[in-house]
Amino acid sequence: MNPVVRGLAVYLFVYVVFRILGKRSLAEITTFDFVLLLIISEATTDALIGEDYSLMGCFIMVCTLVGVDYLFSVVKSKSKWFEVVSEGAPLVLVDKGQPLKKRMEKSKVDESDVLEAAREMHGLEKMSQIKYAVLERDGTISIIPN
Amino acid sequence: MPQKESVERVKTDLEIEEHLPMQERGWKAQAIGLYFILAMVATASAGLYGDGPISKKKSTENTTTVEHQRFYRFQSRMELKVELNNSSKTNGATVAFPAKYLEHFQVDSILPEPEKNVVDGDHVIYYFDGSGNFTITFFLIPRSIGAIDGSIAVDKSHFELKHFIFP
Repeated sequence: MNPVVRGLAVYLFVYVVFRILGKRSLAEITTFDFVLLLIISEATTDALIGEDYSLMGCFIMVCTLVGVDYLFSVVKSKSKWFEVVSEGAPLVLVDKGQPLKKRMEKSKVDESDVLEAAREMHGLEKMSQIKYAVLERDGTISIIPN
Repeated sequence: MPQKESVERVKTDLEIEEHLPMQERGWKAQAIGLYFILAMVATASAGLYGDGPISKKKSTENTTTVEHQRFYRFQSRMELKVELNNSSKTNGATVAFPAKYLEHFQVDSILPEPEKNVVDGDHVIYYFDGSGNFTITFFLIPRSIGAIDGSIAVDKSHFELKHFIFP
C-alpha cells in the first residue's frame, strides 16, 4: 500500500480514537496508561512502515505525518468550527462553588478531580473556595479561587 | 430533545467560548464512537477480520477437507489447510492453484514442503509425497486488498476459495 495512504489512515484513525476517548484520556497518565501508549505506538509502527524499511520510506512517512498535522493546524486556525470539532472547547465545571453535575458527568470528571486540581494549584481545601473550575481543551482543570 | 438532558447553562465572568451546542454534539459522537470501538473489538473477536469462527470455512469433498479464511488482513500470514483422509492412499497428493489466484498472494511457506512444484499452463501444481492421513498447510501472505476468488484442485476434488482482504 502507498505509504502516504497508510500514514494518513493511521493518523486519522488514532486521531478519531483519542477524540472518542475524550479530553481527560491523556491529561492524567498513570504508569499503566504510559505502558499502554508504548504498546499502541508499537502496534501502529508496524502498520505504518509495513515491510518498507528504506530510508526514503521513513522520509515519506515523517513528511506525511508532519504534513497532515500542519494542515490540520492551518485549517483549525482558519475555521473555528473545525477547531472546536477537532479539539473541543473549554467547559466550566464549577460555578461559584457549585459543581455542575451534568457537565462533569458528560466530560467524565468528578468532584475529587476538581478538588485535586484545587489543592495542587492553589492549596484550596473545599469546593466553596473555588469560584470557577474549567476543563481546558487539553484535558487539564484550571481553578480560579474565590 | 428534552430539556432535562442538556447540561446546565451558566453565565460567568470568564472570557471563554464554551460552544455548548457543539460540545453536546461532540458528547453524542463520543458515545457513538465508543459503541463503534466495542463493535470493532466484538467483530474482531468473532473473526470478521480473520482468525475466528466467522472467518474460518471448511469444505469437504470425497475424503479431502480444505479449510480457508473468508476474511483476512493485508500482508498478514494466512493459513490454508488441506486435510487428506484416505488411509488407503499411498501415492501422495497434488494441489493445483490457478496462477491468477496466486498473483494475489506470496507463498510464505508450505508444511510439509512439496516434493516438487511445476507450472502447467495457467496453474501451479504442488506435488506431495506421503500416505494415509496427512495435512498440508500453505502459509499465504495477501498482496492485494478486496475480494479474491479462486478454485483449487486437490487431486480430483475442486474447492472454491473466496476471501475478502481488509487493508
